[in-house]
Formats: sequence, structure tokens, C-alpha cells
Amino acid sequence: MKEKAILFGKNGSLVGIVTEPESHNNDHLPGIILLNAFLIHRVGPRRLYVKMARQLARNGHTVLRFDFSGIGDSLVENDCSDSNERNLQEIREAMEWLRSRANVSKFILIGLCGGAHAAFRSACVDDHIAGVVLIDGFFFPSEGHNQLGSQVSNLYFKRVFKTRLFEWSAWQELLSNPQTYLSAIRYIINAARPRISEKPQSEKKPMQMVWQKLADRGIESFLIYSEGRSKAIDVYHAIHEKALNAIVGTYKPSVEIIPNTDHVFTPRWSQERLINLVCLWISDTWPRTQV
Amino acid sequence: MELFYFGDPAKQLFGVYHASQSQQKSSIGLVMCYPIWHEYHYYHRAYIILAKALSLAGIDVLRFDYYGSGDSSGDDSECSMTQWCRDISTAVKELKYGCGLKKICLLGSRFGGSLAMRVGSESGEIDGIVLWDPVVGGREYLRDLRRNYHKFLRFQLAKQPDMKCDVFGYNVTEPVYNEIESTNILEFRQKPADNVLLIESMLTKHGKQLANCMHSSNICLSCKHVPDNEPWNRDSGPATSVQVSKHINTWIAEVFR
Repeated sequence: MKEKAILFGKNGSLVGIVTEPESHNNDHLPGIILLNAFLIHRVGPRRLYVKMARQLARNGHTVLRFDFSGIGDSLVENDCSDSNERNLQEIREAMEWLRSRANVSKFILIGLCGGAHAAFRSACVDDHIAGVVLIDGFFFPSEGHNQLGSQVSNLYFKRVFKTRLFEWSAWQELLSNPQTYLSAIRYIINAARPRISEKPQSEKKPMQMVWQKLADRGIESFLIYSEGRSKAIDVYHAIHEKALNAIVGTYKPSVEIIPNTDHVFTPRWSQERLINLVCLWISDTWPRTQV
Repeated sequence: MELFYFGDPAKQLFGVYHASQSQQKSSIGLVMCYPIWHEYHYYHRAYIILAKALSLAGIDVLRFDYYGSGDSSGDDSECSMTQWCRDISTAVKELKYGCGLKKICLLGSRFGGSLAMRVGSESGEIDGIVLWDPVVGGREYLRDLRRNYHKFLRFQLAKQPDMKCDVFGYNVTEPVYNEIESTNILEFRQKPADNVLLIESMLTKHGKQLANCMHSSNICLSCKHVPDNEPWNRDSGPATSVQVSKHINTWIAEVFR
């Protein structure tokens, strides 16, 4: 496994680290791109991306982890363009670099949090993407946002309060912090709201259509969620689960939930579990050539 | 900005060199020593802003990741204090001889400050040290980390791991734990540097202790207060970095030019 630092993109303003496998016996394997977890630079939270990239390179993949403009060492772009659109362009530039320098023609995008959002959006529009690993991602359809937001909040508060109901420390926190009273009141209001104003299922359709398009294009997907304080899993239950079940055909994205961990998989046991899950799914979906 | 790997080929370190951007180039170079573990992430952005500001002011700056951290090779299970100090010394040589500089300053935040002091004391070749909220006592530092990690996990509804070998998701081996526990930057055999700049976000008893200790060791100490609330527990804003860079620049100009 070899690592090198690269500059690429418009004016060489984007910074990345390429991790290459020892041998190129597996040139047919897709290249892998790791996308920034929100504002955390290319090493990933708790160095998660470095460990993942090295393991994937040991499995024969060429891996690029890079910083979007304005994050880490990549320069800030002052072109005033929409940051989501700019991210898509930068993913295209990353793929272009791998295509021309590492002889890779298909790609897997992996992202955590904001990185998952970017990976998902990119997969929706780019035909060079063979698969996506979406880790604790929040992505909403643009329509019905408010309605879904309250649905997600309901699921979240129900889950968190249920988990902490019998914890003395949780009651101590509740009694000592006025902010938690507000949360509790908000929960009660939210819990009551769907009965008053819930609309029919129309909000679920936009996301179902997006997933159907990915299914029709044969893009493999793996969704991984933490079951701790993060709301990402509630977004999944409120939006994606039903949308995925409604897809026509045999397409079935893999979904894994890792309980008892936080949004960025801080405890070491959960990092190891996450890396194993990702590597296993990729090697099952795109097997190596037996030499 | 130049990105490169350097040092022992078996233990490659990742570095970013910010060349002086001013016609009035300083003869002094600055090696930036990151904090360790999760605090590395909180200071990463601040270090970039600092490095850019100082290079614009005419100072050659090298940022680098310790072995087993950031983009450098190795794994956190292979870390040790001896290795971290060796990495700082390697970075010092890289900047000093690579750029033909006469003098070298170290900048260290949190435990990076403790490492900078140890390297200065052991090598006797460091001309100045900037300490930004340094960790003074290792025992207290570990106790705070364990307590904060415990609180963090409980809040996040996460399962408690074995706290001694897992600190905020980093693999802390027994020898490293013991080495850090026995660290106290007030105790050094040799003077780490003739000039030290102490930058504190919050005024604590440690500042006074350091001042007394340095005074008795004939070290010329300057102290600056840049108010910020526990920047080691979150990303500090760019305003803090800009203010810190101004203090460093002024201090270097006063002491070395």
C-alpha cells in the first residue's frame, strides 16, 4: 500500500491523498472516493477515513480522500456558486483525476454525514458511479420538508426519552437544565401535531422516485446508521425505509444499524465495526480477481 | 503551500510547507506541533490559518502530522512520546536544512506544547517556543480527558468502552498512558529555549506556575491572553487564530529580528 499527496481540480486548488494497492492485479475494481464528513478534513473523524482507505487499498482498491474547497488544505473558491453544485463539480474532478492517473473507470463514493449527502446527490446525476456507501446521512426531499421534519423529531424524542427514562443522570440533567424542559414541551407538541395536521402520503413520493431512478440505473447502495443521539436514523425510518420498500423490482439496498454509538462513530469498537461492514460489503459486491 | 512526505522511509511523516511570502524573509522558521488525539482535529483549521498568516509575514512554516496521526503513516497503536518527539526533531531538521534557516521556533498547542518543551530541553537547539494553552500536568490532562469522554459518551447514548485504552476513539496504549501521566512541563533538566511566548485562552493557575518556573530558569517569557472558551473542546473560530498569529508575529519580530 502506497500513499501520496496530490493537488488537482481547477488551478490545482484541491488537496487529496491517494492510497494505492501494492499490486494492480485488480484494475477492474472501482476506485473509491471518500467525501468530507461535514467540515472535518480528509482524515475523517477520529482518523476513520485513513483507516478505511488503507483497509480498502489492502483489498485492491485505489482510494482518494480529498478536501472539498474551503475545507482542510483545499483553497476557498470565491466564485459564489452554490456549495452543493460546487461539491458535485469537485467530485467529478476527483473522478477525472483517478480516471486519468489510476486507470479507474467506475467509482464508489463513501461519505459520512454531509459526505453522504454529497455522495447521494452525485450518484443521482453521474453515470460513472457504481455504488454509494451512505453513513449516517441526512438527506431530505426538498418538498414536504416541514412535515417530515416534525415526523423525524417525533421519532427522535420518542427514542431518546425511551432510552434514558430509567437513567438517574438523565433526570438530573432534566431538572438542572431549563433547556431540557423546552425539549420536552417541544416533543409533546410534536407528538400531538401529526394527529391534527398529518397529510396523506404525498411527501414520500419524491424520495421514492429518486431511489427508483438509482435502482433503474443499477447503482449499488449501502446505508449505515448509528443508533445514538444522531437523528439520521430517524430520517431513515421516517423517509427512506418506506421509499425503499416501495421500489419496483428486485433492487434492495443494504442497510445496517450500529446501536450504542454516536454520529461520528467515536468509540473504537464502533469504528472497527463500521470499517469491517464497509469493506465486507464492497468486497462482496465487487469481488477481487483470484490470482 | 507544498505537500510532501518526509523522514524515515519506513515511518513517513506528512508535512505541509508554507514558504515565506514576503520579500523581507525572516531567518527564523516555525515548526508547528499539533495537539494529540481528538484535539488535533479542533486545532487543524486554526493551524492552517496561522501558517498562512505567518508565511505572509515572511516566516517559513512547516506543519506536519506525527507518526500514526493525520495523514502520516502508521497507526495510533504505534505511538509513543519518544516517537512524537523524534518526529518533531525530524521536522525541525527538514525545515532548518531544507530552507537554510539559522533559527527555529516551535509552536505547540495543548500536548503539542508539552512535546515542544521536551524537544527543546533534550536537543538544546530550539531558539524559541510558542506555547498555546499548553498541557502542564499529564495526570490532570488524562483525568479531564477521561471525564469529558465519559460525559460525551453518556450524552451521545453510546456504549462505554474500556476508558483507559480508548480516549475519544484513539488507541492509547499502556506505555503512552503512563508516559503522559508522568509528564510535567514545569520540570525540565535543561532550558528548552531562551525565549518563550505563552498564549492563554483562559487565565489559569498554570500561567502563573509557568511564569515562575521560567523566571527561575532565566527564560525570557512573554504572556498573551487571547480570550476563548476551551478551544481544545471545539473548533476555535478564525478570529482567535488571526489574533494568535499577530501575537506570534510581533513576538518573533521583537525577539529575533
